[in-house]
Amino acid sequence: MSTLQDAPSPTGRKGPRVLPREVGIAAPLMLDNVDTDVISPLGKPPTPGMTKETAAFEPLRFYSDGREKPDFILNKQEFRRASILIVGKNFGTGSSRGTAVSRPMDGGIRVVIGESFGPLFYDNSVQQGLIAIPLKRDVLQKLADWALANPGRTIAVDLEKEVIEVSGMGNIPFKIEPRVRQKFLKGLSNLDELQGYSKQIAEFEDKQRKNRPWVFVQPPDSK
Amino acid sequence: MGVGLAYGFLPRLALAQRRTGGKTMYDKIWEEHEVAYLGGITSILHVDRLMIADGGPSTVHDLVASGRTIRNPQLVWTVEDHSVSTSPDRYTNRSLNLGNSWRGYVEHADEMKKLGVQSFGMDDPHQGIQHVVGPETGLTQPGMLMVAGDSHTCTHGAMGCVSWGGESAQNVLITGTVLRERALNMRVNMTGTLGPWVRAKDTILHTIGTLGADSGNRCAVEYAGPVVRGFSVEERMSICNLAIEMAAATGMVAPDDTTFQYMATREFRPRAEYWDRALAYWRTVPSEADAVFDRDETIDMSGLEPQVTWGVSPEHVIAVSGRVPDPANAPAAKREAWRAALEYTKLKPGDPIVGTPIDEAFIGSCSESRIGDLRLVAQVVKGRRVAPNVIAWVVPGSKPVKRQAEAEGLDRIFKEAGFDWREPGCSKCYGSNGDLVAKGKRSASNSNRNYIGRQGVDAITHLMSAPMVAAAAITGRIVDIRRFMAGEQV
Repeated sequence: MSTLQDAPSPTGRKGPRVLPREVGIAAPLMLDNVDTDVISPLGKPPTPGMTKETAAFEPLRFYSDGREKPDFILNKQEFRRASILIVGKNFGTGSSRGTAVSRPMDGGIRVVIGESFGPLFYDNSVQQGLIAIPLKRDVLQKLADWALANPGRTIAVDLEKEVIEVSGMGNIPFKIEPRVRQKFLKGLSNLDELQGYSKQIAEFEDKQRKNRPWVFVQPPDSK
Repeated sequence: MGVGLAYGFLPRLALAQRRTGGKTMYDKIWEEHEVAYLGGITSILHVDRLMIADGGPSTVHDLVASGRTIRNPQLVWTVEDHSVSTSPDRYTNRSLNLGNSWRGYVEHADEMKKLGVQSFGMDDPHQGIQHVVGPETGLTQPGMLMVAGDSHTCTHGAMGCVSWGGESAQNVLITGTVLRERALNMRVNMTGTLGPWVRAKDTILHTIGTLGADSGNRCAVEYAGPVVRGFSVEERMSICNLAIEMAAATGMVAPDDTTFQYMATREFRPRAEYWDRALAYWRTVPSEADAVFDRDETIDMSGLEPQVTWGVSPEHVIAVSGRVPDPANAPAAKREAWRAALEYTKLKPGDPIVGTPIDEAFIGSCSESRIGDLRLVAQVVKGRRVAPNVIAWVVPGSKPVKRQAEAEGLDRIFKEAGFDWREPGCSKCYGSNGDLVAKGKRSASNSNRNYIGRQGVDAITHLMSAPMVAAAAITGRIVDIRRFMAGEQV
C-alpha cells in the first residue's frame, strides 16, 4: 500500500547518515523471495509479546501464540545482536511499504547483503539509510557458510573502501551506486539532492511545456 | 545474461552498448524526462503524473500549510482505495473506513480544486482502485512518466508509459522530479494463439512461473509479441500489473491503435487543440525495430492452460491440469522454499490442483476488476449458484466500472448467484478494512499476491484468472474453467 505515513517530513529533515564502517555479527537468512508481507505484515494484530525490536519477520520469528520459533536465525542466541543480514535472491520483493526497511532497522540491522533485492525495498533502503549490498551467489554463499560456522564473530563492512572484511576469508569487494554511497556518507536526503537542481528543473519544464503541452493541461475540455 | 547481478557495472556497460542499436521505449521515455544525469546509473527525472492514494489531499494540504509550494499541482491526482471499506454501508457508516482518510477528501476539497489537484474521494464518481482509475480517466497517457506510492503502479505501463511505485510523493510535490536508477531493458515476447478461457492473467502467471519471481530484477520489462498486440488495453493492464511480481522496475506495452482508440474516449484525454500533436508523439514512443534488449525472452502461449498458484510466491504456479509439485524434484536452491510453501498451503505433492476445496472467492483488485473482466465473470455465473459455505465477493475496480456493470445488469447476475456486490476499493487483495479472508481459510483470488498472510492471518491464496475464480465459487473447489463451461462433470 502507499506509505505516506512513512515518508520523511517535508521540511528540514536531513537524510540518514550512515557510518562509513559497520562492524557486526552477520546472520545468514538464505531464503529467496522473502517478501515485504513476511518482513512486515499488514492488516493483522501484532503477535503477543512482539516488541519494536522484534517486529521484523514476524511470521518467521513467532508462532501465532507468541512463542519464538527456535530455528529462525535471529532467535538463535549467537545471532540475536546481528547488525548484518545475509540474504538470498529478490529479498524484500513485493509492496512499497517502508516498514519492510524500518522494522529490520529497528531490530538493529544496518546492512543487508544479498544476491538481489526487490525494487521497492531497494529504493526504500536508500531513502532510509539501510545499506543494501549485492554480491554474486557463490561469494554470498561462502559468506553465509562462514557466518554459520563462526557464530558470534563479527565482520566489517566498509562503505568507503567498498569491501567486506571477513577474518580468514580476506576482503570481499562490492560495488554500490556511487550516488547512494555519497548520499549515505554525507547524510543527504533525496530532497536535498533534487533541490540542488532547481535551475535545471525550471529550464526543463519550460522546454517540456512547449514540447508536450497536453501533459500539463487540465481539466479536460469535454465530457 | 547476468541480469540478476546487474547493479553498478552492468547497466553502464549495457547503456554504452545500447547506443549502437535502436532505442527501446523505456530508454526513449527515460531520455525525454531526464532533467540531469548524476553519474553511475542515476538521473533526475521530470514526473508527468504523481498519484497519491488515500491520504493524498491531507499530504498536499500539510505541505502547503508548512509553507511549501506544490510545484506542478495540475500534474497531481489523488484517489482513495486502500483505506476505504468496500461495504455498501460505507457511505452511511463512515467508521468502516480505515483511518478515515475520506475526511481529508471532504475537508480539503475546495483547496484541492483551487490548486488544480484532481481529488477522487470515496464520494466522487471517479473513485476506484488507483490503477483502474488512472487509465480509465485518461490521466495516464502514453509516453508519460508517472510515479505513485503503490507497488502496482507498473499497471499503468499498459498505456505505453513508464510508471513505478515508491515513497517519493513529498519530493515530487516539492520539486516536480524524482531520483531514479536506470533499469536494464528486458522484453518478453508472447507468441502463439490463446485458447478459449485463457486470459492475460494466465499468460503473465505462466511467464512468472517460467522465468521466476526475480527475473525482472533491475529491468524495465516490455511485453510484446502477437499475443500482447491482440490484447485489449484492459488485458494489457493485467499483464503489466504483475510486472512487479517478477521484481521488474516497471512493465510496459508499446502504445498502438488499440491504445489510441481507448485514449480518444477518456475524460482527461489531451485537449482537442493538442490531440493531433499528442497522437503524433505517441506514435514515436514504441521501441525501434532494431532496439537492443539486455534480455529478450520468447514464450509460446499456444496450448497454454488456465494457471493456478499452489504456493506462496506468484512463481509457484502450475497449469490447471497439473499436480502439486514435489519439493524433492525442485531445483536445489528452491527445495526449502517449496517445502515451506506447501507446509503453509497444506497441499500434498502429487495431488491434482483441481478439486482443491475453497472457502472464499475474491474477484477484484487492480489486476482484474475492469468491465471486460466482470462481463466474463457474469458469463460464468449466470443462472448458477455459489456453492454452500463459500463466501464469494465481486469488488468492481472503480465507480465507472460499477455503473457500467449495473447498466448491463451484471450486478443482478452476481447477486442472484450469491455473490456480494461491493463498492470499489482494494479490499481482500491485501486484507484491510476488515475485508479479510477468515483465519486459515482457503481463497480463490484473482488478485496478484499469494504471500503468507497476505489476504488474512494464515489465509491460503490461490491466484488465478477472474473466470477461474468464478467457476471455483460455483463448484466450491478449484476447477478447469474450460471444462466447466463445456458443461463437463468437473
